[in-house]
Amino acid sequence: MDERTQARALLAFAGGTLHTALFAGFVILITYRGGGVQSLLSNLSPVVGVAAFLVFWAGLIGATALGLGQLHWPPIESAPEAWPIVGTAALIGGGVAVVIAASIAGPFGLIAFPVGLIVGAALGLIDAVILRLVEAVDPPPRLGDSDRAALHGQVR
Amino acid sequence: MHLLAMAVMVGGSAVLTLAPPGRAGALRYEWAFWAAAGLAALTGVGNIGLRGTLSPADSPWGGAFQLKLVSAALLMMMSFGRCILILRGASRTRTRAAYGATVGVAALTTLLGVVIADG
Repeated sequence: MDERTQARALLAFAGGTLHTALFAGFVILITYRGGGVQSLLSNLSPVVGVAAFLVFWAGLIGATALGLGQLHWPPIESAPEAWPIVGTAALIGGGVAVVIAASIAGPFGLIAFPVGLIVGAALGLIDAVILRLVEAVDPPPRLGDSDRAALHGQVR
Repeated sequence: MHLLAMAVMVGGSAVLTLAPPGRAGALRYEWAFWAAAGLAALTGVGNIGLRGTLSPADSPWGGAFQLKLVSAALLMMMSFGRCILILRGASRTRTRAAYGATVGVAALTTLLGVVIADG
């Protein structure tokens, strides 16, 4: 496996795990504050709950890998701009929501698209902010005059 | 299982803060860290389901529980930044600082976990 493929695999695994944990945490927080977390979780048997989480986790790793492929990132030095990240994540989020909802409710699953779009955009925005913060902490090396000249084909 | 996952996250980051590895070693740890993070999320949700009736959101326990969720989310987001930093080949000083910050937030998350487990 070359370096770019290794980097993409790790980013997909880490990003997919991040998105799974953030989504699960958000759902738990909202349902807890609304008083419904017990009924949500008590309706699931432990085996079904674990299986559902693992499928969701694997699905979001796959969705993150798909997004990284669409954004052609890595190479790690050439990070994409924020809005393409948000747009790509929104579309993939909409697709994931439809797949999940359609597996439960059949064709009516299409109505889940806007929800997935919003969740995906929110997760994409978080990714973009993290990426910008990393670039602020560890800025890319500035081009020297010789690098600039080489880029413009002026080196003899 | 939840404790084991947290031990990998806190303990591993603490060791790497004291003795930062090279890029290859750091990348190997990232795989272990994210596997542990996913396991911690899975078992964390399971633990809530097994707990029975939960105290209301405006109780001291509820406050600690919500703070733990926020702290865990912060830990994950910060760790994703650390993972990108390591992939970018950041210096040893920056890598060490990233692991140190991970230890701090992971320790706070663990402490809040102990509080809500006892409460």
